[in-house]
Amino acid sequence: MKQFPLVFKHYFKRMMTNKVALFVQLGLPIILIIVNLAIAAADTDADVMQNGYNMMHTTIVILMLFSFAFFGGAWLVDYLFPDLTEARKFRLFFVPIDKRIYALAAMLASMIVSFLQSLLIIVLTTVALNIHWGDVGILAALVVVTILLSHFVHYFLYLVAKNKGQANALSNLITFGLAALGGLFFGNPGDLVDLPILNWFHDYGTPLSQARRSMHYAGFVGDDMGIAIQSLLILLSATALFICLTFIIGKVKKA
Amino acid sequence: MIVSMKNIVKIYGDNTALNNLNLEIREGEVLGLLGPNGSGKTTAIHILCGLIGKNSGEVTVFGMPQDTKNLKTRQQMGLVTQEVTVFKDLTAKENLRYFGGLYGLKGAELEANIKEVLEFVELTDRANKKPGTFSGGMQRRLNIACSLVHKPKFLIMDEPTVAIDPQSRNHILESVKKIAARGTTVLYTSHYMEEVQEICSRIVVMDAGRAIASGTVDELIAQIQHEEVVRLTALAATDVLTRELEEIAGVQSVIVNGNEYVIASTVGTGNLNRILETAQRHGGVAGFNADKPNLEDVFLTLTGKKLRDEEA
Ligand SMILES: Nc1ncnc2c1ncn2[C@@H]1O[C@H](COP(=O)(O)OP(=O)(O)OP(=O)(O)O)[C@@H](O)[C@H]1O
Ligand SMILES: [Mg+2]
Repeated sequence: MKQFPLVFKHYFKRMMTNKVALFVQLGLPIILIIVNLAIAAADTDADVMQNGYNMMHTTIVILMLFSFAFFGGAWLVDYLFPDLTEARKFRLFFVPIDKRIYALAAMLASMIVSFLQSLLIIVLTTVALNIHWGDVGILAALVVVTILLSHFVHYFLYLVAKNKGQANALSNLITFGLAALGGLFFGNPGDLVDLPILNWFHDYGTPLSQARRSMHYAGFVGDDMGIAIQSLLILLSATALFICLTFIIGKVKKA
Repeated sequence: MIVSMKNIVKIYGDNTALNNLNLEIREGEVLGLLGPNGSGKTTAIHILCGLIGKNSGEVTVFGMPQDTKNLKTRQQMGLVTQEVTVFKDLTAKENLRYFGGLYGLKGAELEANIKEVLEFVELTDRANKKPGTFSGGMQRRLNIACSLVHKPKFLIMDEPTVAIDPQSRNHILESVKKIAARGTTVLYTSHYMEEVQEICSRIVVMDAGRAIASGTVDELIAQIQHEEVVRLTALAATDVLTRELEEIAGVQSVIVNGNEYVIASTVGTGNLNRILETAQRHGGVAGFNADKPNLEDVFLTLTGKKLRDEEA
């Protein structure tokens, strides 16, 4: 347990000096937000303005924030496989430290990187783009839960996949699939293909949908804290489910 | 006794990697584990280290039962993995600092150990460079350094000289001798018999998941050697010479073929000088050789196989 801070620092430092990862995690969301807002600016009219804030912009930025937060765990997989599954595991698991504590410290480092990403998006868009984020408490809780969910989903993938390639393929399928269903790439897919299930996914069936729903009811479309908290709890339950799954599978895999 | 492995069985699917392996390692020795590819050396090491489970058998390390949950024994052990397992995105020094830290070292002690170990593997001038810029041999040396930084009492090296230049190889062999001279117990695996012969005080020969022989080089050779053979080319072969050679104490047979004599004696008679002196008296010696069998012959005799496939 006493090595936990050391392992945490090790991964945090490696993640923060990985230029490609940093660009994708911190640079890309900012660039995409600016590009998307520029495109949206072309057809802005008066009724998207509420209380002096542009709701169109707000909607885009919410999509970006939570989509990127849900992608975060994918980076962890890139460290878990070479260190804890491939040849290096014989060195790292030979040191006198519990495997699970080691993995948890690496996971926490990746979560903090994701958290910094969210913070950067929120602060920059608030200061430079005049974005209204609504209820700060709900926002913070949603960001933290989305990051937790993403990391435990990816830790689960790490445990079930045979190798890094397989884990990455599954991760892409899930993160991009859910992002598409949630409306990141082309709005509600239910508007393109007439399938009721697609509408359900867009409105309720993805982490992005629930985060957006929570954000909206916490101060944008209607003031209904009950619904906001309900969505938050749904995300929290999904997270709890994956935490349990990783514990169960972690045990089985160890045996 | 530092390590005792008794009747270890490890099965992968339908492949028996270890088949009742027995192995003991004594304090202070450099034990060579010699065996061809796939004979189970790495598997044996991983079980000894508690990195993987076993199907049956018993392992004790420092008198404690070893298993995958025992973290206590590891503080005093160092494992040089067969593959280079340092972090490529960290400098040599950062790697050492991390691994030292994982063993609980910090502050001045850690820095002093890092300095010492960098000097030991002669990478001081590369301390702040990333291993990606190193030659294969240098990477292997860093791989060794990372297993030494916490000053283990017992060092396990899994084929540390595979695929490297002769200079790095010599450097590593010299290092092992120095480590051993400090009193560290070493388990050294290899499929190069010359290395094992050079640095190990005792050798265990492995084949197909079991230990088939053990002892010092001389003991192993004695196990397979039933006679000593001297091949001698006389300047002139004569019946008198043949008769006198046959009369030398210990000589069992003399075969003559032209000017070539093949003289076989009982092991340990030490009559080479008398053979040469006799031949000298009867016309002179054009050439001779008295090959002793080596570990390669030991392996060949015990298993009917060559120790290593011909390498390019
Ligand atoms: N994880 C594994 N899964 C299945 N089979 C394995 C595994 N690890 C080793 N084996 C098999 O066990 C046997 C012993 O392998 P091991 O790596 O211990 O041999 P080795 O003596 O270290 O060989 P080398 O000189 O090639 O390193 C081989 O037949 C190998 O294919
Ligand atoms: Mg091996």
